[in-house]
Amino acid sequence: MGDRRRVFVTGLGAITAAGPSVAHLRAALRASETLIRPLRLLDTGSLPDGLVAAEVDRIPEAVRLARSARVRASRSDRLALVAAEEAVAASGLALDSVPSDRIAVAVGSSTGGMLELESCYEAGVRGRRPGRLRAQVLAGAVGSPAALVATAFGATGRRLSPSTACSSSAIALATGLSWIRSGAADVAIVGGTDGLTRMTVSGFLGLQAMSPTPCRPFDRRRQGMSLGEGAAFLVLEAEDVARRRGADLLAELAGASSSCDAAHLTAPDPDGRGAVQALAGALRDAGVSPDEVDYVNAHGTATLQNDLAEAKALARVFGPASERVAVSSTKGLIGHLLGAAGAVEALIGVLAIQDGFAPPNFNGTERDPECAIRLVPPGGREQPIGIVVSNSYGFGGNNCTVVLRRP
Amino acid sequence: MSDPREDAIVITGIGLVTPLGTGADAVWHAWTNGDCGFRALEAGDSRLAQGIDPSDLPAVERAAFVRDFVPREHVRHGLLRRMDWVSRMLVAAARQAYRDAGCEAPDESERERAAIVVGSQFGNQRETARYTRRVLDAGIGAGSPMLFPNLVINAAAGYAAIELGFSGPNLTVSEHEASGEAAFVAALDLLLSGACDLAIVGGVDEFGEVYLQALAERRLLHPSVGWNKALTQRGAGWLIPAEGAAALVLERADRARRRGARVYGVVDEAVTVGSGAGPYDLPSPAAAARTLRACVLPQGRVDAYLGLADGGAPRRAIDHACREALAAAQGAPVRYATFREQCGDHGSIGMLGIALAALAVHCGAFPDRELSSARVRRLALLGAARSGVLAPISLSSTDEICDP
Repeated sequence: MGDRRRVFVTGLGAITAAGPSVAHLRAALRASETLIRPLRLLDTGSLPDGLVAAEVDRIPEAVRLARSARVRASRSDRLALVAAEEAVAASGLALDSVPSDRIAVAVGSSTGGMLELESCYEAGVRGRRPGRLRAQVLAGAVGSPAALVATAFGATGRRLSPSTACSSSAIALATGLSWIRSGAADVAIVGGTDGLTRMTVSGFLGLQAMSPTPCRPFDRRRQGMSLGEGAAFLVLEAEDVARRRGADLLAELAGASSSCDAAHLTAPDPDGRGAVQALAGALRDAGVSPDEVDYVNAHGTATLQNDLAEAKALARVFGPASERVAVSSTKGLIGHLLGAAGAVEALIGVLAIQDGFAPPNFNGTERDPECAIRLVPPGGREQPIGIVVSNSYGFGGNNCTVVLRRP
Repeated sequence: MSDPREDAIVITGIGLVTPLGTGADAVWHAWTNGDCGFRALEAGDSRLAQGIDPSDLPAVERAAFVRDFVPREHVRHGLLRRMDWVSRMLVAAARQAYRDAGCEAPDESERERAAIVVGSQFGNQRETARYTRRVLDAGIGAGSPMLFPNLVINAAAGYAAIELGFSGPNLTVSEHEASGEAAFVAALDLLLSGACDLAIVGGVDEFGEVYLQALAERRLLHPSVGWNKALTQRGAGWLIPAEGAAALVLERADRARRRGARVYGVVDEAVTVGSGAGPYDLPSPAAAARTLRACVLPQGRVDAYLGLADGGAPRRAIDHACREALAAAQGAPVRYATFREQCGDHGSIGMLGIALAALAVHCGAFPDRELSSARVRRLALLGAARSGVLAPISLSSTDEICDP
C-alpha cells in the first residue's frame, strides 16, 4: 500500500432538490430544513394522501449537451451532465492538458432512462403515438449518462456504468479510485445520477417502505424512506497530476470496499454482516483505524431494517469509538437519490472535511434506542473532521463504503 | 498446462444458456457445425406469453430463444420460485460455470473473496412491461411488492450471490451492446486490484416489446427472411433479437494451478475505452481497428479474430477494418468467424463470444470456412457499443489441447 498512487478529489458538482450546484447543497446542509415536499413530477392522484419526495425543480440546460442528445437525453442524463459540468469546471482542470485516453468516466445509475421508458409504455396504453419517446427508449439505458459525460469532455479512457441499485455511484467512486491507483487512468470523472420514476415510487410504496412525511433516519418515530432525485460528480486525480498543476486538493479518496450480503434480494442482513465486511474492508484499504474516523455519512434510509442493520454494523466495527464518531444521514434533507446516493453523500463528506461541519441527522430528534450510535443533533456540529466514512447499500444485498481523508 | 504468468488471469469455468443450446459442449459443437439458433415467432408462442404480443411486432418474424434449458436442473427450487427469466438464465449459467471450474461450496473466507460481475443492457424487460402496465392502469399505488425487486438491473447478480453464497464484490454493469465485454473487463479489474480471488462474470439479456418496436421503427431489425438467407445475403438486414446468458469463472493462474484446475485460456488484454464517437454512435471502423491493434498486438501475434458482425453493414465494416488491420500488421490474413449470425444478438452476448473464444484457444480450433485449420493459439475479439465504447479483448491458449 505504501507505494500506491494516492487519489485526490479536486472538483465537485451536484444537482439536488437544494438546487443546481454544490453551493445550493452546502447552504441547505446548514439550513436544517428538509427539502422533501409534496411530489409533483408524477401523477399521485390514486393516492388519497399524496406523496412526498425531494424533487429537482428545474434542470438547467447543460452547455455541453451534444446536439444529438437534445431529443434523446433522459431526465437522468440531463441531471448527470449538469453536475459533471460543475465538477469539471470547479476542478480547474484544463481537459486538453491531459491526454484524452488518460481521462476515465464511471457513472452509476439504478434506473437510467426509466421515466422515458414509462412514458413510452404510457403512450401505448393510452393509444397515443410514442413519437420521439421511441428514440429515447433506445438511448435511455443505464450506460447513457456515462456516454454523454465522456463525449462532453472528450474522455476516451476507461469507462464503466455500474448499476448496483442504491450503491451504484459509490461503486463508481471505488472504480475510479482503482483505475487511478493501477495506472489505468490519471483523471476520473465519477458520479451518479437518478431521476424519479413511476417504477421506483410505486415499487417502494408496494413494499410499504415509503414514509408519508419526510423521512426520519435512526429515529424512533420513523415511518420509512423518502425518495429524492439528482446527480453528483467528483473529479478524481492522481496525486502527481494534481500537484503538478497546482490543483486545490479538496480531500483524498483514501479507500473503498464492497461486499454482498448474499442473503436476500431486498432486505439487509439483520446483523449487518455484509455492511461490516464493506466498512472494515474500506478502512483497511485506506489504512485507517476505526478510532481515527470523525464522521460517518450513513446510508440511513429510515427503514427499520436498514437502520438497525447499519447501526449494528457501525457499532461492531467502531466498538468503543462508537461513542465518539459523529453519525448522520442526509437523506432527511434531499431524500434517497438511489443510484446517485453514494456520490452525493461522499460529496457531502468532502464538504464536511472542508467546512469542519458535521451535517445534522435531518428530521430526527428521538434516537431509536436500538441504534447505538452518536447522531449529529439538529443544526449540525462544528468540529474538525479529518476522516469521513460514507456507506451505501442497495437491493441485491450490495454494500459499498468509501473513506475520505483531509489532504 | 504451460506456465502462464503467476499473476495472469485465467478462465477455468464456462456456463452457457443460449439459442444454440445449454452447456459449453452443446454450444461449441453447434457453433462449429454452423447450426442456427433462430426460429419463427408464432402467435400464442409460450415464450412470448410473458409480455410480447407478436401481432404488435410486424417486423419481427424470427428470434433466437434459449434451447434445452430447464432452470430447475441448475437452481435451487426455493430461490427459483422468486426469480424472473433473466435471473434464471444468469444463475443457471453461473452455477454451470462454477461446477465446470471444479469448485466446491466456498467456506467463509472464500465467500468473502468471491465476486459476481454481470453485464446486462436492459435487465428484466418482460416483468418491467407487466409491472409498468399495471401501474399505468391502476395508479402509482398499484406497484407489486413481488415484482418490483426483480426489476432492478442487478437482481440477477444478487440472486447469483445468494445461490452460490458469494459475499465478495457484487457488480452489475451496463454498456449498451458491449455490456458483456464491459462486465468481463470489470471482473478483470477486480481480480487485478486484489479485491477478490475468484470472480464469476456473466452476461444476460432478454428482449421486450418496447425495445423491439423501437428497433423495428429504426430499421435495425433483420427483415423477415429465413436464417439461411440471413447468413448468405449479408448485404441486408441487421440483428435477430436473442436472449441468453453466459458465465465464466476467472481467477489468478497461481490459484488455478494450486487447485489443479483446467485452464481454458489466459486473458492477455481486456479494456473498455471510449472511441471519441458520439454518445449514441457506434465507433467508426477506423477507430475500432486502431484500438484493437494497439491493445492486442503488443502481447504477440493473433491467429484469429472473432467478429461482431450481426448481419448488418455497420458491424461488418468494423470486422473488415479489424481483419485488415491485423493482417497488415502481421503480414498474413487472420482467421475469422462470427457467432451473432447463428445466435442472434442482445446487449450482453459478447460474453458468449468470450466463452467461444476461450473454447477455441483451449481446443486450438476455430471455424473459419476459408482459411486453413492450423492451430489457434491466440485470438482477439472486440465489443463495440452505440455509446462510442470499444472493448478489445485477447485470449491465448495454454499448451494443453483437449476436446472441451
